[in-house]
Amino acid sequence: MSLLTLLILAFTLFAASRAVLRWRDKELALSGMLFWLVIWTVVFVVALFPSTSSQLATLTGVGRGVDVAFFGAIVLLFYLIFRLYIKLDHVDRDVTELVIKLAQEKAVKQPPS
Amino acid sequence: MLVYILIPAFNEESHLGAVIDGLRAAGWQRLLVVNDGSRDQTSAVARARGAETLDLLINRGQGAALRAGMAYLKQQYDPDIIVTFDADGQHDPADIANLVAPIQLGRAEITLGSRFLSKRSDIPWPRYALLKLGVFFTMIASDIYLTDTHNGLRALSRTAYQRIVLTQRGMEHASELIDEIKRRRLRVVEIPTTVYYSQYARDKGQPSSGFARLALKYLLGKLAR
Repeated sequence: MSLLTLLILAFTLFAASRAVLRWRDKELALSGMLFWLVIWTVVFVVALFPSTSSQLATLTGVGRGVDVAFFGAIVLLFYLIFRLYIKLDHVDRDVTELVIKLAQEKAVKQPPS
Repeated sequence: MLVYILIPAFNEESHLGAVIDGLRAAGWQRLLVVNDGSRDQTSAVARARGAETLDLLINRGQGAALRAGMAYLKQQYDPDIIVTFDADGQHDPADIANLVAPIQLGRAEITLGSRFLSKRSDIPWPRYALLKLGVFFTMIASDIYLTDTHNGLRALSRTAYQRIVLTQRGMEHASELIDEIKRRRLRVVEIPTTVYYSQYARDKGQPSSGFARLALKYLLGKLAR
């Protein structure tokens, strides 16, 4: 087993433990924790058994195992960016609602002279 | 009929005074200036001229300012008509009477100003081309044909301002408003209005390059809803 493989395995265990700790501290929902555990488990398995990526490549018709890993990572990243965009948009809307409500309350409390 | 003029304003201390004076001279006394998080004396200028003000703590965009103003007016005064009017001196107060008339006569629920129906607007050609592109975009995206899709001068009846729901806070609210007109099946009439293109208004207004970003924000906003 190479040093790189050991580092990847160590990192995935660390990342998975962070997800569990965040869930335990109620900073991450159960669904979120399970999502990340699945991701890191896949990375762990592929790092430990590199031939699985080749088998996946054959299954999906993609050239090489590393290509499957890259395509999978890109798709996942796009999905996460989309989710982040939606969340950011919701936060932006909430800030606007708050600003409007504050303005209205201040105006009502201080009617025009 | 109770008509309120709603003026969203961001950093307009230099022009707002003249705008308010022009509106009063034209006979419009009920004015609400929504100060959209200005960093200058916009609010003070409005109050000094006897206009009501609604102050947003931080800048949220014209869409948010209009939404705040409409909600406030609905709660406080329940006006028959709300007229939206720009604070940078681009609009002519003399056009307001023509805008409210169809609503007063029951012929429309919302009237939109159109600089293309008026021969008095001297539209710079790059802006002309982009606005025409906006008309085409609206025709495709909202399935409604209007001659001017981004004119801030408009009049809304009580039915219109109570039923329209605006969620987009920036300039893309103008496209969303058109969507709402279609969705709520509001009777809309376009009225010839004049838009004055001073150097100040050109410098302050939406840059030509911003229209593509505006269209993208409108589409992304629809996706996120």
